[in-house]
Amino acid sequence: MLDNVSSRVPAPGGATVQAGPPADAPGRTDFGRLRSKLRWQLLVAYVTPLLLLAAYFHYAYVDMMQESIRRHLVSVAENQRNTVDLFLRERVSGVRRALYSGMLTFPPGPGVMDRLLEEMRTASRTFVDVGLFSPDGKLVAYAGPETSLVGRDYSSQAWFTRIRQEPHDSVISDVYLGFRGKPHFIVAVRQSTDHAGWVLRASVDPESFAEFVASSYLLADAEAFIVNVAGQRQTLRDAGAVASEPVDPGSRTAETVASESTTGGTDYLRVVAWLTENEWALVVQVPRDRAYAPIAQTRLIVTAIVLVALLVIVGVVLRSTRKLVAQLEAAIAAQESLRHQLFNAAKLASVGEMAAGVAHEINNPLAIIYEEASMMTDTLDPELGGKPDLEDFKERLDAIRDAVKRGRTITSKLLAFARRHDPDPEPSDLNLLVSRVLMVKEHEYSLANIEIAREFAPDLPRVMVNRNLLDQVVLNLLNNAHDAIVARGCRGRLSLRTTRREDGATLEIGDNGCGMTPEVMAKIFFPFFTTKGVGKGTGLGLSISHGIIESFGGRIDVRSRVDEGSTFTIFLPAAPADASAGGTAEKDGRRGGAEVAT
Amino acid sequence: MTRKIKLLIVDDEERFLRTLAQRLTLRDFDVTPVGNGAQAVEIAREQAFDLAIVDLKMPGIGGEKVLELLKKQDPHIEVVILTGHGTIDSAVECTKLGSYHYLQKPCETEELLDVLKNAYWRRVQSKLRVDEDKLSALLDSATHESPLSILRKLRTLEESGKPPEK
Repeated sequence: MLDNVSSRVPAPGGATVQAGPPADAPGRTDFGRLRSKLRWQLLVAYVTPLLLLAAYFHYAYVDMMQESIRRHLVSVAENQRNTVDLFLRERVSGVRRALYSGMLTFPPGPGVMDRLLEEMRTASRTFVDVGLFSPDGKLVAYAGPETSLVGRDYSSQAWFTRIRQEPHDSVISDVYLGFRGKPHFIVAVRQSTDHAGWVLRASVDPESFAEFVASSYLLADAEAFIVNVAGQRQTLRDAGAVASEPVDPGSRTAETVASESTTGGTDYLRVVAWLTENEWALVVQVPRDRAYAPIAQTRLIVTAIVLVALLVIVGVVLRSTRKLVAQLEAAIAAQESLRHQLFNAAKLASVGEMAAGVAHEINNPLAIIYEEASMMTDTLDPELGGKPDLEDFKERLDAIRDAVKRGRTITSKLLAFARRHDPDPEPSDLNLLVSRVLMVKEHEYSLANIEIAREFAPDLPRVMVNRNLLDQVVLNLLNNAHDAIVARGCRGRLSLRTTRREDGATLEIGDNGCGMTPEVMAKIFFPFFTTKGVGKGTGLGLSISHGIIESFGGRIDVRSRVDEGSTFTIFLPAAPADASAGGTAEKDGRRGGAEVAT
Repeated sequence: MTRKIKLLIVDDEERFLRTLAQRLTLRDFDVTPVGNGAQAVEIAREQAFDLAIVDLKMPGIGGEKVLELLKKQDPHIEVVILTGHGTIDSAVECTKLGSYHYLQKPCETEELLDVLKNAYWRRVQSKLRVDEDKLSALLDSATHESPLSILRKLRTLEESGKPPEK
């Protein structure tokens, strides 16, 4: 027996080819999973950018549109504020013009006030009445509808107090009810020259002011009104609702501010522009949903487009994945069927190769039987001068029996080898399987002067294999080793070594034959690739072996160097701990042992 | 008494070799059984054989090599191949190397004897032709020699198969 001979196959520099399991070939049940996985991936890949783009453009558009709508509203409000300012300025200057016109006397004579009012109303119909106040706050003269007011003392009225104290000579009041009990506001101007302290006051019709304020807005559904510092409305479109909910204008600022706020349960986009002529602010407000209606419409359109695009994408993805997976399924089925055919072809080829070897093994004992029987016939033939000798007969009959036993051993081995049932892998003893195959080839090796070195690890875990298929792989590798040694024509050495691995066992089959170039080695697992002469190799053995080992979840590697030899290494995974030890394996194992003994 | 046909049998199957040798001895062959190729070549170097039966698959020197060496040592020896499993390739190879016939085990005795007869017939034929050639060459070269001298030379030729030295 040789020592460990694996060292003669050089590891450093020696090329190695590994034929690991290829990418997972999905089983029938995996196609559904593959299909749905593919669908989700494609949908995510197509839909995510679409949604991101749509969202980005939508928000950018909304921001832009909101800003633009706000700016528009601000500009509308500023224009209107300027107009209102101008209106108030004109009212003040109208009163001032009347006060300083030569028409007025202090106190005025009869009819003067009526003419004055008429004059003022000619300039602006918004003036309702006009009154002249003495410096002590008494209404001295009056023209207008409320004649009963004449003679009243206004010195304690807020507006009169203001005009007496202020550095300015004019005042515009908030809207109030006053003595007459009707909402109105007044414009008063104080004389500051020859009749200093006298005050001319005109009241302005709040309704026409309100109409004026609300008149020139440009936005549909926008509402414009004036509030005082306290937020009370100074103009109303529907008269009488002075006490409607106050609108907080915020603190006075030169800037026109747009904001969103809720009043009376409605969301408003509101712009506040402070007047310069009075402590009033112009408020322009639009219900938020009305202001942003164009955006909502765009959003609706974008959503519809995205939905349609989504539907199209989903449709296309579903359809194309179904088609793709169906094609894949068909291709894999075709490949599977081809592999099956190859497998059967190789099985036939290996049966043929083995039959040739077996013929030799059987013909030899048959020849012995024939010769012994013929010899006995010869001794019975007087012509040949033979004399029957019982001892000699007995010896010859024993020889015939031995030859028959020899033949039977070979046929039973052959039958055990060629058995084709038990297709499922079962826990098996690798050493035993290898020894059994080796027995079939042993004689052939001894004839070819090939030494066999065995190094079997005693503590191998059981491996999950189908024994017939593994037999085929080992036989194939042994045949190749034999051919490689014969091709090199040197003294042959074959080494078989099993080794325990953490998760299984390895079998190394090494020879010192002709070896392979890296180019050949790259192709040896391809179907129909052979280096043997025409009619000598099918080119299927290694590709089938590879397929078989792969089906056990194992791996087959090869290292080789030209003129030094090749070593094939098969890794087989260990049988799971709970797998049954396999009664048939045990039985076969014992029978195999008995055969070794005979 | 006629000389027995000298037959060399080479086979690694010991039992087969022994019995076949016994049976052919019964049939008046002078049989030399040999268990391997190297020994066969060695023995054939020491003594001349008329015929040889050679197995193909043997440990050590294989049948083809034995055939080649035997034919090299003695071109007149006729070799019959008797093998357990014949293939067309090995049959062609053996024919090229000069084997007379190619038989497969187990072989009928009659067939084997028939082949051996034909092989010996050919050996005698070729040997006779060679002998005739030698005889006429001897006569040509000895035209002027005395009859006694020629007779002596003929007897030497008959015994050793070689023309005597002048």
